Amino acid sequence: MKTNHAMRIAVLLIGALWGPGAALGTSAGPLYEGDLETQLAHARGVARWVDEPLSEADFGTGSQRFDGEWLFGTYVMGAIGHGQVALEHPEYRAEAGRRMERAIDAALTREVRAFDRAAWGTDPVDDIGTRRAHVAYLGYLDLALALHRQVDPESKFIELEESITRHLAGLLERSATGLVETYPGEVYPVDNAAFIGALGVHDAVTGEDHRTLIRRFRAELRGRYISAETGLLYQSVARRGGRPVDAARGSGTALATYFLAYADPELSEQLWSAMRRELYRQGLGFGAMREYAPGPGGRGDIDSGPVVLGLGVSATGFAIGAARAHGDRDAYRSLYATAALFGAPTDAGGRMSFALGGPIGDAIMFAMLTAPRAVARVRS
Amino acid sequence: MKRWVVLGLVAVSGLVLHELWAEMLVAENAAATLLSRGAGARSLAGLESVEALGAVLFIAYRLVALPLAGALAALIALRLSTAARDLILHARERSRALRAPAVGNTNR
Repeated sequence: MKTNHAMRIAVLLIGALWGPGAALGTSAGPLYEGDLETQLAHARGVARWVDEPLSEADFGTGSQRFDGEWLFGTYVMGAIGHGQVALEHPEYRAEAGRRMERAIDAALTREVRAFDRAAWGTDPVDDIGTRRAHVAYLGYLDLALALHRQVDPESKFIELEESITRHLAGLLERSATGLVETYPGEVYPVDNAAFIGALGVHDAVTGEDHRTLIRRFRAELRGRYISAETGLLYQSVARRGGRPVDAARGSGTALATYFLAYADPELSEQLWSAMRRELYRQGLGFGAMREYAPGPGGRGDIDSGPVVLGLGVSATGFAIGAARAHGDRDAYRSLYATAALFGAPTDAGGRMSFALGGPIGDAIMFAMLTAPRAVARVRS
Repeated sequence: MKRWVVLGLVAVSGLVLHELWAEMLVAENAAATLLSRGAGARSLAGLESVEALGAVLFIAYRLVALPLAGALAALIALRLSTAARDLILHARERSRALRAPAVGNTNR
């Protein structure tokens, strides 16, 4: 009798402790495998945000710049997600092309460009060809444009994509630090990585060869912008001289790992290995990434999202894309379990949305969950 | 039996509440306020605080409900496996009982 009772308690405990992680992790399986229907449910969830008239007022960060970044991010990451699904499933190309076009058109409106215009004092699109880089706006946009070109060879954005690519490639080639500015006086290696990812897609589509520039970028990162101690990417560096002005952090490293998989799989793999070693924590079927390597860290900021017990919301979310890009099924599964636990994916009439993600959360998760596995190297 | 019916009703109610709550959060885009909370962007006030609190409560609800659901699922699995074992044992005993007279007849 006593044995039966003890066994029941043991079973209850096992179910309570391991059940949620196992159940949520299992639902990552079809996404990791690239099941079209599951990906389309997320695609519809994101398309809904793009079709709705969103504005900065829909993002309550309390900062006009961050509200604008999140509005832009919703459109551009949504477009990237559609592009990735289309490249994995050619039968989705036509629909993806239309959805990407709507998202990119929205990202190109003057209202959405306002956050970048406010920071620079000049408009990012008007500044193409000048010495002002606008790499946050133009770099991320360029990846969406290049993917649209890959999905739709007749893309109406070809001219714009080529002019942005020429603009940023030229500035990067001439830059003494090997990086260009996001905003005046602000340089973030991860934003530069977004453009390098776009350059990889551009070369794949056009047959042009920017390998010299990509190799130089790799050398600069390895030599100056990756922490020798942790192998993680510095979040922010000084405009003159490139001295790190912020710590090497999980959110920037994870997102750069994802972007660089498009252009430089070797460098991307190096960053992913460092993240796995320094930041990855797992237990009970859940996984998460720290924002800072163990030791004296920081409190995070708008880029990290809330940092709880050292674990970063953004670092964990972005790492899902990096895990898929590197064929790391275990990490993908456990990171997704955590994202699902706190994000609460909800299916409303075939449209999947993260109840606690909002437009930006849905769009980022869509892009990360569908990150291309073309460069996948299955971990032993 | 009554206990299982009650447990079943609680589980279904919990699930329905969860789905309705989640759909409401999606519709109201309440998450935006929570994501920026603690991210160094600002402190919340007024209605936004209420929305953020609602989102935090939803997370708390999931943190409690999901382990309970896991425990319930494990209990059901244990119950089913016990029932299946009992059925197999019962069937074996029946088959043994049926075979016994036949053996006796042969010997006779």
